[in-house]
Amino acid sequence: MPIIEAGFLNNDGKPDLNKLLQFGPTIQVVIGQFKSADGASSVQSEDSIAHALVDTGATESCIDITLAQKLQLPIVDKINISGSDGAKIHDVYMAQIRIPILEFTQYGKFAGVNLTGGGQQHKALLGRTFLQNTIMIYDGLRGQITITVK
Amino acid sequence: MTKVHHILDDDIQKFLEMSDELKQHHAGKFILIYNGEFIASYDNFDNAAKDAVEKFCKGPYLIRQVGAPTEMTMPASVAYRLHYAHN
Repeated sequence: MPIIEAGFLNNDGKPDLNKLLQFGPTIQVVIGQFKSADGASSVQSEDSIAHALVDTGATESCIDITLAQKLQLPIVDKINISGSDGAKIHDVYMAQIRIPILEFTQYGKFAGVNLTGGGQQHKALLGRTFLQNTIMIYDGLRGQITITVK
Repeated sequence: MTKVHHILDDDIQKFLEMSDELKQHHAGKFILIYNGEFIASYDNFDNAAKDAVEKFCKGPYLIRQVGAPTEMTMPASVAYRLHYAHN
């Protein structure tokens, strides 16, 4: 079973607790156009390598609006997202988020949220719809996060 | 408001107009609506998306599951960042 580290290392190659505290569990993903299970009917465009936050507080996985527009991801729905400033309508994009090391792909509909505009380094949030396929061990004492998929 | 939003609004309006019929005959199915017209229903998202791309390329088109929530709560990580950035 492939395992991925979602923490950070310092210059000495040891776990960096401060970066983990600052950024949260982070993994490298490839975001691109939706491809069906048989690989057919994809819209041709470039994929983008990006950092994703594993967010246990998010129900759904989300994609940064700026990246979604850059990749020209198809808009396939709208969703009302409520927050501290009230509810706002957000576009929902059809895409896939691939984690090459885990040989795992989450595809489908992703709400577009303003990560870059909010100063966030991540380009995607992997919510509980992603976590339901995984085992994640968060060792805050050692600054080590391990994730594997079933 | 961009043209994309306007067209998708028509699709959503069509979905809402068909709401009773969809709940009765297509509960749990994925509905494809393009240009304000009902195209078909599918057993899963994969089939709906595949057909949508084949027929209408990048769209825009609506793919929505009958009965699925149309609201969600902003993830705290985003809400906090946005709030912080504005203060």
